[in-house]
Amino acid sequence: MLRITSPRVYGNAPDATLVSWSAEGDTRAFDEIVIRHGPFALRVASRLIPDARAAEDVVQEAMVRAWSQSRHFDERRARFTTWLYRIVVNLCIDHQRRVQPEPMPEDFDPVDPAAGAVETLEVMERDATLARELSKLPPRQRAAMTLIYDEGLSGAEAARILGMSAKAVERLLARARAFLRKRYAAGA
Amino acid sequence: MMTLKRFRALAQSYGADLQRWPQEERGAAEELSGSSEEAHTLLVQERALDEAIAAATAPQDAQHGPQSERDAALVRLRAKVAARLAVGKAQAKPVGRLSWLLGTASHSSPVRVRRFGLATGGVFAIIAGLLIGGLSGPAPAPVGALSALLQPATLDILAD
Repeated sequence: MLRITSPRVYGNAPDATLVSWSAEGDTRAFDEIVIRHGPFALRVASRLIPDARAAEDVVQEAMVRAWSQSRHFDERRARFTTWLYRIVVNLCIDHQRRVQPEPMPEDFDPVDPAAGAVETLEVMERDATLARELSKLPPRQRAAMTLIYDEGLSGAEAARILGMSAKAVERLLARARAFLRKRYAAGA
Repeated sequence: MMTLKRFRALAQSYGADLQRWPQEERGAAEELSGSSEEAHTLLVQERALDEAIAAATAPQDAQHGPQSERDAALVRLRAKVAARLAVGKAQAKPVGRLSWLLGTASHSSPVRVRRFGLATGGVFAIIAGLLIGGLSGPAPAPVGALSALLQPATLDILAD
């Protein structure tokens, strides 16, 4: 029997449709997914992994993994973005657990000699200290902060991505802030 | 009605921006921050930490460059992912029944493998035909009979 199929319109297709086409081997459909969700993945990875090249490699790996697992995606169980972002964030967390935190370079956030004022100097020193402390946070705490503070996701959305309860995310954030508050107060 | 304890827990997790707080608790939190001096002070303290965190991450954001650099990163990502998918697809495609004969078939493009398979099959068929023909073909016809066969046939209908 002759089957007549309409040409695929990638730009307007919902994520779930693109992923089902990807599961059939349609690389053009998956490219559309990369276009739509690559910027988020790159942003989050660059916040969790200080080395920009390593961050890009992790996102690349996450996308290839999503492609190879696309046939297992079930839209009744999870939203596509939650499913994809979970792959990205988990790989970032795994990467950061493997590598030792790199010390910040000596010339990080150099003081502008033109500014001059003691207050400015102190504020900048405090910011630099806090940035160093941020990079020392456990990967899951940093991931929770990035998803909620930087990406504007709700606690519930972040919880789904991190594969934990909203209460657990709340505790992660509280621990991260308590640590930063203490360091910030010590530097103040 | 939200308790001050719950308000503190949320403020010390999500910070001073109530938009980050769980949607179902925002209304009660706004109410309490308007009526309780202690709740209001808590928000002021957490706002200071929010600002410090934002200032600390600002150089990190600048480090990742302007929009053009982020666009370039996306282009690189698309190209690298497409290349890896192409390699994966080529390796995953079936290469035909003659793959055992080709040795390197799994690393070749499917089109080349198919052409080579057909050519090899054709050569085998010709050789097999010659061998079978040579061994079991009919005995040659006598010269006289062959000459008779080569003569033009008489068309009786046209003769009339």
